[in-house]
Amino acid sequence: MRGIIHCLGAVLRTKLAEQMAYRSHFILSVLLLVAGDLVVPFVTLLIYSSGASFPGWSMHEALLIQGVFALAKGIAFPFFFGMVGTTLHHVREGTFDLLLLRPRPVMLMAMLTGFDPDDFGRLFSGAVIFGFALSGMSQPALGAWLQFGLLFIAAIAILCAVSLFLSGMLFRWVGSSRVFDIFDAVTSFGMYPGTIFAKSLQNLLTYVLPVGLIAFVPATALLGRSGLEALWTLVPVSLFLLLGAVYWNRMLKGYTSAGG
Amino acid sequence: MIEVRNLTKTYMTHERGHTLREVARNLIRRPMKEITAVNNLSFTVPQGEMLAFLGPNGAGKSTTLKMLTGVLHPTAGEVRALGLTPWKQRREYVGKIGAVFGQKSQLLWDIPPADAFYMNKAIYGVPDAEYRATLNELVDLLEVGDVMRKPTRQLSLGERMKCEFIMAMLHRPQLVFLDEPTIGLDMIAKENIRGFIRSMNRQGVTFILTTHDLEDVEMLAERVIVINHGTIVFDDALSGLKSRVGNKKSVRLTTETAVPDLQLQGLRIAERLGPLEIGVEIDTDLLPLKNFIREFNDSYGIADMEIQPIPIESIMKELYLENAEARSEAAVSATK
Amino acid sequence: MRRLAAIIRSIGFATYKEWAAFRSHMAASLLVGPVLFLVQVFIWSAMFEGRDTINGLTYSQMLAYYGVATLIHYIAFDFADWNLQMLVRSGKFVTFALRPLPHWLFALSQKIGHRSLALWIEVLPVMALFIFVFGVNLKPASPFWAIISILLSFLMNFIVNYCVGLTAFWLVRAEGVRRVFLLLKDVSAGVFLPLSFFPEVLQKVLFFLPFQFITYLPTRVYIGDYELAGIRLSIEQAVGLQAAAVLLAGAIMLVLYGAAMRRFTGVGV
Repeated sequence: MRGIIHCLGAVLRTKLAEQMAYRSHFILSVLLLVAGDLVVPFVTLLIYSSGASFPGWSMHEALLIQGVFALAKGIAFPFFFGMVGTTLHHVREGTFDLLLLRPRPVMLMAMLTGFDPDDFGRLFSGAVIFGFALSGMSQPALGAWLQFGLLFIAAIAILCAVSLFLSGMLFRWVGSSRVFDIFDAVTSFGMYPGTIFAKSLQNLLTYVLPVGLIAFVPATALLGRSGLEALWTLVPVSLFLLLGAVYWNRMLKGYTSAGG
Repeated sequence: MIEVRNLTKTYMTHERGHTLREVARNLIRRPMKEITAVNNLSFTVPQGEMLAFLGPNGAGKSTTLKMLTGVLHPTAGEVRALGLTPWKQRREYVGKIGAVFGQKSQLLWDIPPADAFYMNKAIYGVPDAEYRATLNELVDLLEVGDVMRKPTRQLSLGERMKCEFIMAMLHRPQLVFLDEPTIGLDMIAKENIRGFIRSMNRQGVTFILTTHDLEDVEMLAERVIVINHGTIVFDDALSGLKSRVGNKKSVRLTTETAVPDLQLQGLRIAERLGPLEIGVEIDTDLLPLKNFIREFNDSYGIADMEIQPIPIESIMKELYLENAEARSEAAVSATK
Repeated sequence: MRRLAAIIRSIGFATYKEWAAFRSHMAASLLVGPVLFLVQVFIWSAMFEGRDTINGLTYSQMLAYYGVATLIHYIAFDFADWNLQMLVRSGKFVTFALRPLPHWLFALSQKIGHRSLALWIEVLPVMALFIFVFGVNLKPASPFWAIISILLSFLMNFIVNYCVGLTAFWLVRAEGVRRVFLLLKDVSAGVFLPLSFFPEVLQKVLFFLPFQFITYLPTRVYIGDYELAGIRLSIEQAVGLQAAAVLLAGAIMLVLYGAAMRRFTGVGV
């Protein structure tokens, strides 16, 4: 464990130095991520200001979901999601073997080399939306905050698992940047109140493909709208994460035995 | 065919720091520095010549090449090539020249070279009959009849390079620029490529070659221009390069007793291969070979010996270094 | 002229072949497009609960907007900017500078080849899904003007992206700027929301920017009525305006290309 933290520290340092060397690039890329995260909330804002609404959801409540979504990305993306890009690049160029030569677990190496400090910028956009949303509603109780905290960790675990699935897919589906589009499309279900979807789809999005748990369920907990039974969702989350890790390792094995 | 006069290229670059403090300071002020990449080059290349540009990394070779191909404007000086000024009549000029880059492929990675050839035919506006005739000739010469119908990514580097050559020669250019054309190839592939270049050259095509591979130079070039720090330090036939360093021999010998570090005119101990085995360089004008052998046999007892001419690599090394020394000496005297 | 057609055809054909190996990458749109559309279906059916129109659009018009916008997005899809900046950064641009053909023409031919492959892998299947699975009404108000408008959108998207790519000659490592810009382009083109939802002031600005001609205008032309910033245009007028805008943008692109070539031959980026 200490070794891992040591590695992470070293990677963090070099990545930051790299970003400083191209600081204008760094600032702009943070700006881009912030702008990207603001698109859907902006659209939500425009829709609400034209008089329409999600039935049973005020604008601030709807924005709260999108704020939580951006915050979860802000923590999960720097650490985990970069590995998708790393795998994409290294498998396409045939340089993934370099990671296999390191005396550390390959999954860890893939995550470390993909570590991307730019993505912390999303914490900013997330905080802005989140703060704005909270300002327009009554303050949540302490219990709601605790429940939210637990579910938020689960949300990060889901994003980690999704990163593993997408990255694993790229061992076979060489060089396809379309995985990012697939990610955006599939997770877009998670940016809106789950109640707008058909009941069967809601269940699917909670227990099978748990994108509803990234933002909708934690936000509902913060709004005090869900009881403790929401914590049961932690079970499918752990399963999903486990499945992600197993899938990734299988795909890696397939890749290495095929000889690149 | 090519006439170059006083060709000069300078540009400004930012100085970029390495430490965090330098980087932080650069946020405020970015110091500029003028670099002279090419300084006052003049030479001519007659039709049908095979000319090699040599020089260490960053010497100004590729800048020169870019100006000769018209993709870079010089700061000063003139170039006339094929009756045109490359950068002024660029479109017309590039339609008449060819270029092969060892590290920048023109082929399309996922489709067979044959398709990419066809694309270039359209771009260069080669008439059908001429295209077929040229393609057949080149394909026969390079023996890539089957190869060119396979997707490029499946080809070996050697096969790919052959196809790069076809791609560059389809419009029958009279002047062809080659940049590291044999980089990374195995011996046989290198031989094939060199053979091809020679036979094209016999048909009258002028080749201008930049490379670090001295074997390319020995096998191909009639004339060598060595550039260092943006200026020409040598321009002559390859044989001239060899005689330039004097009559030197490289000798490897095994002795019965160890040879100490001795000072002897015309002799330099180049390397110690073992306690009783050394490599030396001898300037035979100062130290005739027979004297050397007699002296060494008397003093240390020669057990085994191998005499060779100085390899071209050491000549080049000397040439690059000699020039650097001259420069630093000039710099020192300038500050005095 | 005939030679030009031959050039475009041969480059387009080579690109078509080149990308045919990546059919599966394109086919990902068969998942992405319908999934994103499904989300819109749920959003708008919730929004339209208890009301007939939002911002003057009915539910079925709204779905048609997203359906058509998605299809136009796939037809006019472009990555000329990415391609060009990659060539500049890797130094491979020089191999194009050494061919007697302006690179923008090469890139446009590539796009034509690339999109003709996409037509039957992405566009038509997604269109079929929209019509038969989602029951969207995708009948154009006037097929002739719709096709002209989509072709102009194809050109406009290329021109805008190519201009963005040209900035690589000055800003070598500014992928970030370009991506911010392209995101703003999509927002201002009406990819995420019809522009008529934007505040009045923004609508007036957007009317004069080139982006509405990529998605919003052709989509409205397809559906059969155009309105932005309080300006109503007939289909013919809208397409005429679009054509003028494309011509202007094309002229700007050529000027920028000329400047980029002077820069390239000046410092050899």
